[in-house]
Amino acid sequence: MHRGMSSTRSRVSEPLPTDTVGLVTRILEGYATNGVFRGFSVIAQTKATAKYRIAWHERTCELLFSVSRRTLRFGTILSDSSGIKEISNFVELLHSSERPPHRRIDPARARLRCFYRGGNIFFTITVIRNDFAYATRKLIHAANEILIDAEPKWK
Amino acid sequence: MKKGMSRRKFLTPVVTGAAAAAVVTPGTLIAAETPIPSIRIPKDIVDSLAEPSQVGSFEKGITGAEVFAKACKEENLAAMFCCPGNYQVINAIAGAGIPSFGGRHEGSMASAADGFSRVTGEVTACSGTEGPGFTAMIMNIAVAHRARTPLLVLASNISVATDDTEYFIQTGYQQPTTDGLKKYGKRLVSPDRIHEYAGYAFRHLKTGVPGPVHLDFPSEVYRAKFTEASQLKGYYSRDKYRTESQPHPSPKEIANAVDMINRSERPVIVAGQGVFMRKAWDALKTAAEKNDIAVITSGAMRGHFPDEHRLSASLSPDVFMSADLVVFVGQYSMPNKNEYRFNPDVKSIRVHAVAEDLGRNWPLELGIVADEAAFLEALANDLPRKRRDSWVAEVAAARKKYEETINGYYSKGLEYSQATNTVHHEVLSKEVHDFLYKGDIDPRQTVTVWGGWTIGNAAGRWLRAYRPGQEVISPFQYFAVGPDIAMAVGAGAAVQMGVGPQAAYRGAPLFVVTSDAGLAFSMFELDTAAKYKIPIVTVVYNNNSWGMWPSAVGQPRSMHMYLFQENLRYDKMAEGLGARGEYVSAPQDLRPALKRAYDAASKEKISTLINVQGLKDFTSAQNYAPGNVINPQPSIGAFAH
Repeated sequence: MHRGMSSTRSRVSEPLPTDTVGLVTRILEGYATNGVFRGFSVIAQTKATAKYRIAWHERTCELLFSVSRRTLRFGTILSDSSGIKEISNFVELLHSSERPPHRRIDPARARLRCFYRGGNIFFTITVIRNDFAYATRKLIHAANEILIDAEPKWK
Repeated sequence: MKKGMSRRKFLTPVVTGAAAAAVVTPGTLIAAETPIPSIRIPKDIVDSLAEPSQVGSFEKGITGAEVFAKACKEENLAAMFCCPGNYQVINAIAGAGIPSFGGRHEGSMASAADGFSRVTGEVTACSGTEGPGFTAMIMNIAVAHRARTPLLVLASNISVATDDTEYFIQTGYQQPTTDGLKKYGKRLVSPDRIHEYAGYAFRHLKTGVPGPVHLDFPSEVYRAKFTEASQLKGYYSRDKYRTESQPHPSPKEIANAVDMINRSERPVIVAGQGVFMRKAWDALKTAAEKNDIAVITSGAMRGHFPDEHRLSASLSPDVFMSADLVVFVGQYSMPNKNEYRFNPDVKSIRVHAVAEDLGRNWPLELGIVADEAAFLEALANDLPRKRRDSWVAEVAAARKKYEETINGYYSKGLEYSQATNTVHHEVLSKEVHDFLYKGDIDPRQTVTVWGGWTIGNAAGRWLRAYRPGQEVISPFQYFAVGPDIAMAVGAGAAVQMGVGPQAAYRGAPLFVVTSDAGLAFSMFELDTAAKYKIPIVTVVYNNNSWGMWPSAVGQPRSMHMYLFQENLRYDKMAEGLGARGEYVSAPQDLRPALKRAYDAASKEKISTLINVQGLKDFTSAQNYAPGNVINPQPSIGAFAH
């Protein structure tokens, strides 16, 4: 480790998985084969980035992965922003130490945030300590829980 | 009360005959002298119900209809609900001693049979005449089909000799009409095969996953006469034409299931309708208690795992996402993974009586073809004793949170009620809850039926099931609006007779919570309830509208299609049908009305309709948050799967 690196930098100094994009892709493919995703495609993939299209919860979402940024980002996961406050609170609560470990996003391993722009809601999870598998799963868990409650089937 | 008068006084001082014509002002009649006769049950009904049964015999000559009725009797057909039509068949079935009920609409009678089955698990029948009687049943057959009810649908259908000629009236091809709505169907065209096809019907009704069976009878079949057994083909007993054998899981499959449960930290059993139909509730309880497995019930009825049990997670929807293993047992209507609130990484076992449905919608780690009772008994036997204290505590904490949430809905509802001088749907539902489960009545006693949109969702989360067959989810899977009272009539007949799980509560009143929109579809069956002395307390949430009225918001020319006249008096209509009527528009008046209704039902077998005046705007969260809250799946109040 270089002298003077921040503690955060020291945590990311753990080695990257040899095929990070492949690792994330395989995890997502697993959700497609076990029925969580009703449809799944890898739209583009390089050694450093990937773009996926996911059909689930009666909508299609795009998921962008960047190894260098250490982020997975759902673009426009919800087009109705009326619940933004509630969803933001829920996302924040997901990191709470009061939640049991199996229901929690450990802030030392990943950090989920939601954004609101142009009437749409986005989710981004940032990978900490190179635990890409953990972050990928936690993003899917959180998005699934939000989407399952997001809209009644009948309006 | 005068001798010969009915139990209720419906005398109104108005004139009759010639004097009645002397109307001074439209709608105002002049002074009365002759009383209008009371509503009463005629002696002919009483006498008819007291008649002994008789099964036809070859010695005297037996008709096709009687051969069929005899087969139904031997198969212990639990009850038949019908309107007149298909005369020879319904007369033969009633004559054979099968409990038979005649109502006001064929569709409602199909739902009554459905309701009877949902609280007993027994095969029931409905019947209507060819043409309109049959087609009147279609929506209700579809309801039964989605609920996997073992419903025997019977209808007459002209004659083979006049097929395609439009001879006289009511020609129709029935079997294509029920395509997609039945498990099996047949137009019976060979008189000598009538018994054989009864066997086809009961083989489908009593084995595998249940569903409606539809038989239509041309006159050549029901009128055929037989004087000796040799004139019938395939005339042998039920022991020969079907089997009671059930698929049992292999030891290896049970070992795999036990291994997966042992490796799980937070296992859940989703106990579906098959657990109820196969009366496997004791085995379920034993297995769950032995290994501290949480249980959620699903299906068209509730109670096969008691809501108050420490392992019941039906009132703990927030905990489902914590489960790491789900074991579906007898889940007839399978959701996809985006519908049930489970974690995307949850492992899954599904136990189902037929192989072809395993893997549909929900990919599995382990699929087992087995009878629900056989599987649960084997599981209870092979599971090791295990305590999962942190898991049980998590289930309990989620329940506490859920109860706080719905109590919060109630508190808001009470505020809204007081501000508007009407009754909010959460207040109505909580009042019924407190009356049935927190007062003097045994909480396990009363069978409830719920339906409707805004009120259905609220009632669904407040009504409870503490024993098998205690709660009917009328809108299950199909969400038909309206069969609620009809289902209660059928369920009430089962309670009146003390069939199956209703034996300990024989004769107890039933409660229906329903909507004003739905009421129109089967309200006339209050006459049927009165006629057979089936005591039903119907609590109607009258919000002057179809519950989907928010769909018209922003559509200026649409709203009129969603609304009714305001302040309609369903209580008065009920009085006209021989029931009691109560009108409530303030929360504090509801409990006394429930008490009066319950007393009349339990002591005098008189039904009551309580018209509870609400406000349509409560459905919307815009001014009355949280508005209409749809319950999560699976859980208490869920209706889709």
